[in-house]
Amino acid sequence: MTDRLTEEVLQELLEAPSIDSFIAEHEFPSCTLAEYLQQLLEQKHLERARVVRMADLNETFGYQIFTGARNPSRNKVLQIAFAMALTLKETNRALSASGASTLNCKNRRDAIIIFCLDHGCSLQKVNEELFRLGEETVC
Amino acid sequence: MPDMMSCMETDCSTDNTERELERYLQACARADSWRVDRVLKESAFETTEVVYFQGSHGGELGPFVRKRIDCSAGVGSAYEDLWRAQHSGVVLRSVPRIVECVRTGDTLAVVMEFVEGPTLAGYVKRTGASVDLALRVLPELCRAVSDLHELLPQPLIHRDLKPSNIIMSSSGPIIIDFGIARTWRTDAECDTAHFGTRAYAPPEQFGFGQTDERSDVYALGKLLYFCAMGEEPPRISSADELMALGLPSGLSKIVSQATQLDPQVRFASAHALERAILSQRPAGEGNTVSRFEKNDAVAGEGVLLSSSARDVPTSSDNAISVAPTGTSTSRVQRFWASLAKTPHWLGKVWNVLVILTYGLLVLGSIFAIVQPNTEDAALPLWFRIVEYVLIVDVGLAPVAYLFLDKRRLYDLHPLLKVVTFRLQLLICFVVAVACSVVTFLASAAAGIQWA
Repeated sequence: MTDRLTEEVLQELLEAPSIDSFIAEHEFPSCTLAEYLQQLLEQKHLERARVVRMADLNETFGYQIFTGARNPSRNKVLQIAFAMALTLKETNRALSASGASTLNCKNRRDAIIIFCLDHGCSLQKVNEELFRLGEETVC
Repeated sequence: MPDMMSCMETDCSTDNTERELERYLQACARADSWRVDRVLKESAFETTEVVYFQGSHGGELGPFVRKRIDCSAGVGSAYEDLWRAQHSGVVLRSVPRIVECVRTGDTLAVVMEFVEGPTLAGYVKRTGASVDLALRVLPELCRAVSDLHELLPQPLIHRDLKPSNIIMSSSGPIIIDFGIARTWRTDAECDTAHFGTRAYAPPEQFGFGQTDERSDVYALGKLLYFCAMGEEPPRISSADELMALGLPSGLSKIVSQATQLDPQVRFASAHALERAILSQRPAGEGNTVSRFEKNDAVAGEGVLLSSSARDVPTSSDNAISVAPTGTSTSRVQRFWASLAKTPHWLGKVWNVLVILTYGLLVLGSIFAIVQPNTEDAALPLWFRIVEYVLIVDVGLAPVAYLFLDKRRLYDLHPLLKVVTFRLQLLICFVVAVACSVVTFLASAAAGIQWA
């Protein structure tokens, strides 16, 4: 019975989530990649041009991704994810929005990428690690 | 992910990261070898299962307990702290041994040993609640909790101590379920996550400040009542009312002090509570607190060190094999932890002394200016003023500030905590250098030769 109480209190107190998490969770149920990336840019106060540069993407191509004119491959989405320092959750949402498969820790390459995302590594660092461990690099 | 180490492109961090990556990849590779035997508990944030590890040659290791925790609500990080502590050699006798601790994004998967035995609730029901039982079980429990508070780099506050979270194993009480435990952060004004079980959780846990060691002391006080009376403790903390319910007066006073609403009035640490409880034991069973290698003299609480095996009263349930507690906590941090426990009145006396000393030195400098000795008389007045005011008054002011006991000041003006001890040291140094340079320039301007 006492076990219940912790859970109940937990639920009770979480029934009223903070505004930020509410927005993050509910504002985009199923949107396109371009919309989601735009939203992330605003949330994190990032500049599209900088992100494209840091993601090592061609300027025009990058612009087209953010406007929705082109659909990027899985690796390109990962490049953007590292450039924007996304969390694992955000990256997976971006990947599924673009139609690619999400990161699965059972796959060795994905596991390395997950680890690097969690640790805030740069794109360069993740490429280094992938190369060192004999996996295909991101770019 | 507040506690994640971010990769820096320096050599030793890279090695660390590479090792961690290796460990992570190995854990991911093992992920399929865990066989789930049964599910113990399932909720939105945490799934607890009994698992067995299937070796490649068909053998099985186990049982283990695996918890998968969704950390996005700010819970669960305690397991990583425990894992790190155990991995670096800290011996925590009353905590299950963590075998694996892997974080993927927001999900933490912890595998730890399966502790056999009844929960404290079951144990009390089976053996029957009594003052004897309470006096037997609680000191060990307090010791377990103070281990968590003192042996880790930062105190780990459990925040959910209750009868169902304590297993009475053959080697003593083992604390489980660190789901809402958290490490005490020096800069947090209040906890961001509010949880707990109403009967055992103190008011500050529901949003009125940061929980600290004394929150666990509150829970221990309630547990003392539970062990003595066998029922859920009521929401009262006055000694008289407790006595009216049937609790003997000695224990009532202890429970009352431990469960006061104001944390300042409670016992300052689980250790203090332990000693208070031990003093209630009948004389024959010995009052020594056997603690191995506790080399921090906690100010104001004289600890009796005994290197003999613990006095084990009556039942064999409680035979604990005592081992020296090796700790890798930095001495400096433990020094500060024990300093922080000095009573406030002592801090005030100290402050008065520091200010008096500074005042005396300032007075001395004024005298040196106004009534110089033979040597200084040769120097021009303006120079004497510059020299003494700068070097003594200005230069020593940050030093005096450094030495003050600023705990009350921080309570009133939390913003001042931004100026950490290191920063204060730096300021002292910088001010000292600046004053010396100015004095030297002034002396050059005055044409004084330093012989």
